[in-house]
Amino acid sequence: MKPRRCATPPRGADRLLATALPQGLLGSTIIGDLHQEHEERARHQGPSRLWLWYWLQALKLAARYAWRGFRRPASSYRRLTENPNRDPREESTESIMSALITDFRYGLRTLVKSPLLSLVAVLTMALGISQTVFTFSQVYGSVMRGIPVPADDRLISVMAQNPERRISQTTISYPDYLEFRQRATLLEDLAAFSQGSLNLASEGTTPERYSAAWMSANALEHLGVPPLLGRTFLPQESEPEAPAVIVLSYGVWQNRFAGNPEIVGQSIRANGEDAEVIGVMPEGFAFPVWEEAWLNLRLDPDAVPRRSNRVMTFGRLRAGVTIPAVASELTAIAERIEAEHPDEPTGYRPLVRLHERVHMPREVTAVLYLMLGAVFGVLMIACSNVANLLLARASVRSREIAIRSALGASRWRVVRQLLMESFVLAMAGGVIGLAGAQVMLKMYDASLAGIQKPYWIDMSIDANGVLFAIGTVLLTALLAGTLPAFRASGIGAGAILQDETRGSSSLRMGRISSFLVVSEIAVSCALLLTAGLMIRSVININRVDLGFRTDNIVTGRIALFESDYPGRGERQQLFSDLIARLRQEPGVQSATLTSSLPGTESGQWAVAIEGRAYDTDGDVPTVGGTVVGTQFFDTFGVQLSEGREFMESETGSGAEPAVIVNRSFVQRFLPDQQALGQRIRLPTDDPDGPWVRVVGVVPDLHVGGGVGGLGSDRLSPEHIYLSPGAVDARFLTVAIRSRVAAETLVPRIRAVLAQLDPDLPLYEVRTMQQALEQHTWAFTLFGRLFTLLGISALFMATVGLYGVMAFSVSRRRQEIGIRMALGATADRILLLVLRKGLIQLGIGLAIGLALGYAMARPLRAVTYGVEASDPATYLVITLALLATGLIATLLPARSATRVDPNTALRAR
Amino acid sequence: MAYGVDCVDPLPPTTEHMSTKSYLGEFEQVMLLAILRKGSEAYGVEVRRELERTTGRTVSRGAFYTTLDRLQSKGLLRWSTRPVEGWRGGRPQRHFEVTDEGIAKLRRSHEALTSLWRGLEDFEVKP
Repeated sequence: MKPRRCATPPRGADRLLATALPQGLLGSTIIGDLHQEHEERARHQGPSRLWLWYWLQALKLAARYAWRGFRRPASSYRRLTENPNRDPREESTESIMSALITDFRYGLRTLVKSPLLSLVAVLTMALGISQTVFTFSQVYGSVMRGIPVPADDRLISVMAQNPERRISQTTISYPDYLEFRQRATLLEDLAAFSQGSLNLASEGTTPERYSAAWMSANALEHLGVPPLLGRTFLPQESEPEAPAVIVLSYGVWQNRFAGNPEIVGQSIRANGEDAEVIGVMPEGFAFPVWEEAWLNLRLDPDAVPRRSNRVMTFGRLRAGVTIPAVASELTAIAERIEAEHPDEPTGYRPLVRLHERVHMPREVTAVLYLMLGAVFGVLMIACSNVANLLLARASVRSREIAIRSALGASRWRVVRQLLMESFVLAMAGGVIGLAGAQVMLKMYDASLAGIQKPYWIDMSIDANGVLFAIGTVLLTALLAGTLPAFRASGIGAGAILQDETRGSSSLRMGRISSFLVVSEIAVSCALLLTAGLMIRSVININRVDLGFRTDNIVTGRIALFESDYPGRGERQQLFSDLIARLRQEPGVQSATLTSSLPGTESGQWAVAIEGRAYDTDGDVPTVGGTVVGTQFFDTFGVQLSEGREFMESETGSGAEPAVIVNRSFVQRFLPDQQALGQRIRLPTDDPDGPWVRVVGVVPDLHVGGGVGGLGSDRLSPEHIYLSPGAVDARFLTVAIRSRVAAETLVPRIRAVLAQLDPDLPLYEVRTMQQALEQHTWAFTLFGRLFTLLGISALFMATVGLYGVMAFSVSRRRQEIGIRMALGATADRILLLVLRKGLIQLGIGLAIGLALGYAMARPLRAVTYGVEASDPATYLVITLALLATGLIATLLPARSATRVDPNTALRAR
Repeated sequence: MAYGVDCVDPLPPTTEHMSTKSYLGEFEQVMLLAILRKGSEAYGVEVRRELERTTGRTVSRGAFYTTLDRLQSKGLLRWSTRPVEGWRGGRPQRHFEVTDEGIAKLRRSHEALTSLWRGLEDFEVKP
């Protein structure tokens, strides 16, 4: 019967079978049988199912024969394939698979025969592999895996920048967004959103606060992730007068609404306004960063001034379009907009970046990649150690190898055998290492529990992680095994067999061993140096003079919404009522309000000083700014150098606003003047904005920077503190200095707040110390990670140095014996051995210090108050390495002096 | 005496000797019987199909081929190949044949079973 034309069995499967099955006729007939059944099935089965069926059968058969080959010596195949019709040329053909299996079994046996060496090698590799996989998972999970939405590699954000005013990345105005969306041709679409907090209340439950995004109507649809229930936004829902609608995340739907399947169509209170639930997004969706609910963005495009409404954006590049191309198109559009509105010059230029890059600080990405590099350093050390162990053993086995070569084993055969041994070691190390990496990731996750990070960051080991681990294992096996294998197999058989001057083979291996040890010392020195600099940063961070007290202060944040508190006066009334009541609570020493806690973060404000002329917007200086209430400096234990704190009369909306400036501000803008009584103005958008009088001067307080406290020393030191009367603040943090344990006040704060407004949640409740710790996590975290890497590197390098020295001493016992018999003293022998170790140590250190310096330079972003060339760190690390290196050399050297010449010379 | 020849096992240590001591496994028996039943048609695919048909079980390819190999190495069956053209990807077919020794072993197994069944007729399912 003729089979259908399309029915050819998959070639890959046949190739697999040809490798796995016994060679020759036997294998051929089995494959023939499978073909025959394939042809019969082709008559009633579709091609894809047939293909799957064939592959499955092939895999099962291959696995069966591979397992069988593993259990039985390969020679038994030869008997099986014996056949009267056999082609004599096939006799010597052995399937590659079964030969490899033989090597594998032999390797396993050799390793079991020297359990201590194998254990050390496996553990060393496990240490290296676990750290490599762990670090890879971090890097992969943070910056490589991407966002789980379709075509995320084309997902970009359009932001604005103003290099003249040192603004590297900010939001764009809503009218600009609309223009960009309409005119850009290289983008598939552009969506706008703004992030914020959402107070959800429904009858009979306590209000809760969630992270939410207000999105343009096209946003969710453009993203391409369909809702689980209901729908996403409709175009008309972007109108300024449209009613509020809300899409819930899976988590909110499950936890807040108990997974109610009838939720769509219901009305809930969202920030004090009725909003209809129109949909639920699938589990795990939290776009754009970490949102739990999405509402329709309803902005008025004709609002004046043009820059009053600001939004974030995201959109997709058209296929094949690059980011620079879009950036130049948008820049051209921005220039045209500016030309059309000459009355509103902005100086802002569009900045196009991948969406995921916007939400992951560049510093963190740089350090992650650096860590990946560093961890490969540790892996290299691990491989060098194992290579040294294998070299040591290969030199012991040089006779065995020589005999095998003499009996006709090809060099490739010998190399393959030795490589297989290192592969067996690496595999065992890989299994332990993978488990180790899993444990480390669990611990790492736990230590990051309090940190809010973009939703797509997931550091678990997935299929790619495992694939990477397998790759690492193979690499490890090759790195550790290649050199010893080629070295050992390259020694002429005759030379070894004739060689009766025992010990000479170790001299051949010696140079490679020395090379490996030197590189180990160099790499661990470089790693320890970086670790040292990171540790110094952590110490500096903890020692930094904040300029304010952090003890016994408890804090919590409150967000007011225009729907509940439409007027500025109402908002300020609530805040001042709250503070007044809190101050009457027992145990409260002082209470204040602030837009951001000192030492964590702060806004940046452009300020004009009275009496100065500014030609352009770019000339107006930018300083740090915080809105603070009365008793702020009292609460944080700060003494004013001049003037006074704000008074109650300065906090109301109608009150004359006031400002307190810091020492740096005075030095830069008001030198040689009486600062008190001077006036400044902000923001400069409004040329007729009110002038604000300076009423006090305070010492410089420490200001934190961006994510994780990174970049804090690059912020401008000049800072102003504004009274709530000067700006309209809707989000404020309460800070209370207590006479009792600070945490015990939390229930009282909540109770007082509930009396004023039962729908208002208090969030980010923590002590001042916790707030600071959460803010400097990056330093602590990277400090710990680099310390871990440095210590494992040091440990492995020490063990490696010791191993090589000890082995070289044991191989030179006879030489030492002869020297002693000829009159060498113990001191001379000690010196002889020490000298070799010290030379290696010296060279390694010199290279390592240079390497460390090179590595420390990109680290500057995450070090704090430490120079890349910090002499103390260099000194400490050099001494530490010298000391451990000396010990590792001294121990074997001392044992060399105890060699008894008689025994040494007689020993074979 | 210690090195004398008297203590040598009276039977030579051949496969024959080894195999008389062991019975055929169940799968080995059905395999050999299936080959006998197929006779001149005892090719790989056909034998496996016969096995599945008579026992009502699925027989995995791996188990099937490795058992054939084992039976051959025990000397209970032999095979020869027949070239084919135009199908099976041009790969030869294997024809199996039970050796005399195989038949003898099958008989022994059968006898052993029959004698064990003797007196247990009450348990036999009557057609």
